[in-house]
Amino acid sequence: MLFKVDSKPSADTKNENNEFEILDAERRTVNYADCSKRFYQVSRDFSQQYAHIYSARLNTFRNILIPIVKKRWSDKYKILKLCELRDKGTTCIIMGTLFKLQELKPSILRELSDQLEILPQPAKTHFVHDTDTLVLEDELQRIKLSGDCIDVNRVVTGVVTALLGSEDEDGIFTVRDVCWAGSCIQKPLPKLNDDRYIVFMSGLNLASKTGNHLFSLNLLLEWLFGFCGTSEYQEEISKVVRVVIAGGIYANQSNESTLNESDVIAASEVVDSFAAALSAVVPLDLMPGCKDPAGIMLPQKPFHYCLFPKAVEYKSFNRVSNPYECDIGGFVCLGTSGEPVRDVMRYSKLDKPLDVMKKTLEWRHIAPTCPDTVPCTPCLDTDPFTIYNCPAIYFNGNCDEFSTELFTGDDQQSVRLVCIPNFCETKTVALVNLKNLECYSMVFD
Amino acid sequence: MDLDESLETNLNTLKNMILDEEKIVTYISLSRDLCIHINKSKQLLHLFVRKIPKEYPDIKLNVNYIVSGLTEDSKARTTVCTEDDLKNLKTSFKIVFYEHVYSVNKGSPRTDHAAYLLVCKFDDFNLCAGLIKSSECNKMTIDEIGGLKENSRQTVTNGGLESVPQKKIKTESKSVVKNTQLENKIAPIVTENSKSKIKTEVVSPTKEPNNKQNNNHKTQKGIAGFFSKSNGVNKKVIKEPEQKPKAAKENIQLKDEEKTEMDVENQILKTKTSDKEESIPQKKNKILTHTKKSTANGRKRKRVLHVSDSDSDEEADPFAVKEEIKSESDDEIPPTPSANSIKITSGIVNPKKRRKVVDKTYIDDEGYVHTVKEEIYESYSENEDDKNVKQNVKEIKVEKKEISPKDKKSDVIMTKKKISPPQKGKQATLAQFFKKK
Repeated sequence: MLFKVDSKPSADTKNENNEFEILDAERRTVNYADCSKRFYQVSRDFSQQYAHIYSARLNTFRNILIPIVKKRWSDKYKILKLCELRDKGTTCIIMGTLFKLQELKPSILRELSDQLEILPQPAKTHFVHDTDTLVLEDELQRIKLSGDCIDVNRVVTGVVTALLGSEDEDGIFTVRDVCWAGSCIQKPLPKLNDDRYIVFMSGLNLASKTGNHLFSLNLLLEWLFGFCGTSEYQEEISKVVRVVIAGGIYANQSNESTLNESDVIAASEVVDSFAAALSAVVPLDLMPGCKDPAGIMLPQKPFHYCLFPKAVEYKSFNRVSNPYECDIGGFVCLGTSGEPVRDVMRYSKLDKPLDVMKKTLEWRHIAPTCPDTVPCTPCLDTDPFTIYNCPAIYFNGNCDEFSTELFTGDDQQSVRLVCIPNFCETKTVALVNLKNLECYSMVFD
Repeated sequence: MDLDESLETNLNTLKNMILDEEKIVTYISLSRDLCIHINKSKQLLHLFVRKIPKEYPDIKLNVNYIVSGLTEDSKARTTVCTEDDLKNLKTSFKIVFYEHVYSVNKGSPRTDHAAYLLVCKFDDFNLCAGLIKSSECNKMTIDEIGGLKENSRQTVTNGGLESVPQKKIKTESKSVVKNTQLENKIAPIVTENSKSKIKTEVVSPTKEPNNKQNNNHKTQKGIAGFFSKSNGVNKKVIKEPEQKPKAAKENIQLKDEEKTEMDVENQILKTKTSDKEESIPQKKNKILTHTKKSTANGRKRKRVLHVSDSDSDEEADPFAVKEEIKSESDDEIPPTPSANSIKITSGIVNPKKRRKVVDKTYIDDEGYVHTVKEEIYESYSENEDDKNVKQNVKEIKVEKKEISPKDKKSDVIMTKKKISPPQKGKQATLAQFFKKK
């Protein structure tokens, strides 16, 4: 066991020759399938309006919510559309997309008017205000919401929900109960006899001007190559079956400035060498981050192969999309490079990435604030950010610190939530053991 | 015994590296340099660290250790530290996974991360023996990598390139032909394909726009005559007037010959007409060239009519080519106001003459006065005015003759006889010229 090695009885009696036997370890393999087809196939047609993605989302979730609503509130109450609301005071169920009216939300019109002011406004990072209100919107109408059931500060624009309540005289809907889509049914997790580890890292920031984390990267490579440690430890390291880099290989999100072309060109050789070195010993999935040279709009397309002339020679090198979903040994892994979670934290009082991740699982949507405040391509028919398969491992990259939790859903779903920290600052990577969904962090400093 | 010997050799090498060369040696750089297994290099370093202080007690060695262990329940740490810090560090771990020598060098104790980066780079890791190999980490074949590039190129070319050549040709065509009247007439006949625009430009200076197809026919037949001796295959190609791209090619070729200044255009067209361009130099050696000068906005435009070898004027023609080239370079050609009044200089040019455009008036049958711009050859001596008139006449006849064969629907072979009709035409027009006067 990689993290449960018994301590040696005595330093004096250890025999170096036994400890460091010559060993030719073979890396274990597991089945792998890339399930991110819906992210690759998003059309890049920008002549479409963004309203289509909301209507697609509403249609999908309406179909999801109807059986859940029936189960929760039985058939007592009618499911009505907003235009069908007529009787005041009658309890009924309405379904729609939540829209948060926020005073501090950045507005282009306000930005233009701000330019005329003499005093520059301070840059805001948190847009929550006490006067924020919620509105429910469907295909045709919207209605104001009131009530204590929904906490305005714990929801964001774009979440589709079903509400039980009644319309009052003022035309405001008083909410008595809320029904979220909830996590979908999870495939039964396979039972493994032996440990199989997946390494997650993000925020490598190889294009940075500082090099404090470069030696840590070397240590990481030595560790993954199976160089460091005793023979027994090397044998355990051979059970690492996959490495996923969740964005930020060029620049991590904490950088205020964006990368320019010369930085990318200067860093591309180092990035390519690193990716090639890693791909030589372990299958690597490389996701782009919001600051990487891969387009800013979600879903981000994979990196172009021309950026990796050496690494692309290896079959084990996979350039994948952001968000990314895959099936590793029967375990569904789903995650992003961190933009949607950061955006939800900006527009709500949810300040921990783990809480946001739990909420997104409950809402059954990876990025509810797309396309409102997270740049997104205008999708026409379907919303690609809907969670169709409940993941076993749900990761989020470019976080400030490492955190993890085993989330249990309403239907006994078991999801390992992993917040992958920025490597360049924390020098930490995350390891998940597929056998028992245990998660560890490893610091290289 | 062999093992001991190799161990001794390696140890000696290591001694040289550290004590004599004063290098920083890590267990990875040692494995890479001596081509030994990574665990063997660790053993070697351990041996070195134990032996050398005994053999050389005065020498200070800086030994760094790598240690890894569990710090909290689910947090582990791997770090490199000096010998002095090792004990303290180990106490901070709940469980120690391993520890061994990381690097050895001469000097006082310190951990220099930057130096380690220089000693071992990312590319060196693959060179060490003892790495964990994976059956999935194989290299792709050249074909597979090529397939990867092809797929991405296809997605780019499907969207991009179709629009590019059209744009190029359109912009160039606009710049070349601006103020010709015929272009306006031909414009409605032009198809969607921008190549057809080039066709019309080619047609306009010299032909009457009867019918686009007819023009294509005639140009094709005219061009077919050029190819009749040089390349039989091209004839067959030309005989299909319906194939627009091929028709375009022929017209493009004609244009090539006309407009030597349009370099950019020629580059695009060359890619399409590579076969036919090869046949052009062959033709030039054998065939007479009549250069016609039709101007638009003061630019020189040359049209080269290829005539076959079988005509009687062949003897005089080769000289005419050279003379013509000399005269053209010296003289300026005024702009052509309309197609009717386009002057086409004959191949027979006296270098002593000077070409000049003059307004000439004449009264037609109905009594109207027509003013026409004509090219006159003026000699340097005044005595040759009469000859100038005659040569002038010849020029006009040539011009008219060149229009007439294209009006006729002749076969490919007819183009060989192109010289003879102009002569007949000259005689006809000569009489007409005298009648009018």
